[in-house]
Amino acid sequence: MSRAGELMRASVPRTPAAHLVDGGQLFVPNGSQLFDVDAMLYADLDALLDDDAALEQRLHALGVDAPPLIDDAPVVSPPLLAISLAVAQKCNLGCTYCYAQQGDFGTSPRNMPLENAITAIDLLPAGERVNIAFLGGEPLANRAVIRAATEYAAQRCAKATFSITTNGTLLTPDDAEFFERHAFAVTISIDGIGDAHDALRPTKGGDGTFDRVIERVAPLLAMQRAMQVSARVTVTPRNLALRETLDGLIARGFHSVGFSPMLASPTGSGEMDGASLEAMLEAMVECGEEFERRVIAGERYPFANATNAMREIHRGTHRPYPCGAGAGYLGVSADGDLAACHRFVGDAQGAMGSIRNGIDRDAQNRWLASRHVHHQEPCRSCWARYLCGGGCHHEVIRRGRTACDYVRGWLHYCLGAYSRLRAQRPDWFGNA
Amino acid sequence: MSLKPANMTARQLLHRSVGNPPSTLPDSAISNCFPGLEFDFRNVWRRIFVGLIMHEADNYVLKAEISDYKHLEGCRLLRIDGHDATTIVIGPRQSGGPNVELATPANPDAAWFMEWSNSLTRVLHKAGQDVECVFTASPSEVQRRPNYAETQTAMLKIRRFFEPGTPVIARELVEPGDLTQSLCSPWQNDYRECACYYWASSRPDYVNVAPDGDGLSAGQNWMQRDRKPDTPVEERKYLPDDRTSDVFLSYDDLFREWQRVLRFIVAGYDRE
Repeated sequence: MSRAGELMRASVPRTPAAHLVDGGQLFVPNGSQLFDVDAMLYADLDALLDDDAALEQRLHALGVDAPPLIDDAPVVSPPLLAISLAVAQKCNLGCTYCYAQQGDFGTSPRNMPLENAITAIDLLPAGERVNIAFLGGEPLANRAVIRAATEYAAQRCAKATFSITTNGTLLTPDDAEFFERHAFAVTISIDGIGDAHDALRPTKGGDGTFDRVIERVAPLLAMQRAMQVSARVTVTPRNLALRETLDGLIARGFHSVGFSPMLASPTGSGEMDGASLEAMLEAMVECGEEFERRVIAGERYPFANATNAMREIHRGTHRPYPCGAGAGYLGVSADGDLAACHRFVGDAQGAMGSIRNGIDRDAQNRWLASRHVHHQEPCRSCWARYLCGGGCHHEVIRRGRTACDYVRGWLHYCLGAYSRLRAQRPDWFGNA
Repeated sequence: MSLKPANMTARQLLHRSVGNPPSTLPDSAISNCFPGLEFDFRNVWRRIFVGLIMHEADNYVLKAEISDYKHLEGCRLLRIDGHDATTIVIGPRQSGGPNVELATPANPDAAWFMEWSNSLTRVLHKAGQDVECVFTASPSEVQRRPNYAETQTAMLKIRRFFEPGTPVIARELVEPGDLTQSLCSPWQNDYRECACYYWASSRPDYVNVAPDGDGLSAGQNWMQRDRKPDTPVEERKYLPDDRTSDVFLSYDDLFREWQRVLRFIVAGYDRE
């Protein structure tokens, strides 16, 4: 059996109350608590995993039965602290899997007027830490509004941070200076090295874009200090050579590199199925093992999925939602409609009001009540529910939960990696 | 078998502070709560009747919260729903003498209030209902016997004791601050008075104890002025309390300078 197959098998949920890892760890979902246990206790717990009542008693006797840290109550009318502005609902590329349907979300291409960007920014509390993300389509197709909206937000909200997700083909050296000045988190969508990228992210005319992207990104990579330039790789069955992609992009100077499987595309094109998710997990673990080797050797190896997982496991992150979508974070369409996130632009299922009439709190609270992981199936019976939060709302609503084995297999691997790294490089986690 | 917390939440949730052993926590301390150091349980009875505030340890009406009961202020509650709330004190006046009513000039009726938790046991199940209560007809400084002649009657509603379906004391029974309003004050009279080591189980007043070599013990007595860690064993011998001795803290020390003479104990010793 492949390594990925073994991980998928070992991570199948047996009880929502606990999970055992690699003969030496007990993971308690309540509070995402992780314990090292000796072989005797491991065997003892293993025998109880299919008997909820006995397991509950045993956990109580061990003193790891803290009161539930996440209850059934949904978040209600949370403050808005982050927005994404679909400044350009159009794109110069023709990626077949794109959730935005080549940039225009299925409608006529349009730019966001500056007035809408400003009205949206005015929804954010001026004194708080807020984030403004520029997305599209390809946001740099509307550069003037990005610039003006950033200047406006920086003046209005002293603690504003900025991010942009771009295909990289329209970047200029001047953009680099602007993003550096405003400490942007710049994410470049890039799906592989050379041909692998070109096959998935061609221009609308069918030409490859890898060389152009790398050429355009180079000034940003050279200039990044306050700015951070990361690569985001959307993984389809056609670009599964993750290790090659990871090493290639790290070598080119990206601040970090992260992978996401393509789970739901408007046409079904590029979507990952069970076999390709297993292949992806195999490749992710290969990258993860290299990450472990590099961390132990004291070298920088910014494999974002692994660094994020280590941080979240170390903190014991536990959450009832996968992300802030529809809560503290909303997407804004070019026309000024509010949506649960950037992926729900123009989609009635995620509609949340408009910048002029404000957040539709009824719609938002209905969303938050229904999306709580305690109300999701089969999440309620899964040990990974508070690490995963139930999966991307957009992908789940569009296609269902097709990647649970992959997600759990990856988390299972990461719990083991955490244990190994903590034993060998406790300093890597800081003093906390 | 061993279980060791690995990540931050596991460490935090499993953490038991070294500074607060179970013997000092309200839910696990073996200590006095009547009155007490953590809370004074008697205060749960003050609001047991809707509209009245009773004394926590007497059948005396302190205050009427609604005007209809204004005339009951200062009166004494003699009977509740047919059950006596007071009794007659009987006993020998001298050793070996006959049992007689123990009347005194201050207590001419030889009467005494029966502690609330016992006298209310028989009516608590009537929570939410009105019960007949018999009071002295007028305010009374002294205790009165159950069959005292000059009485008045009022129908009073009993409050529930617990929040429904829980072991939590009902919110309406105790206002914020009620349970802690009559605590002992360790830094004042009470602790000096209680040099009998009454609090010993949860707050040992003789610590760092070791054999002194003569078959006795040496340690640090909280009442002793000199409690330095390097005090020689022979100067740390256990001494019975003596209020006239300079070795011990005096009332004056505690009244005037409790914050200096009683310091925080960290790792077994006084700290600045």
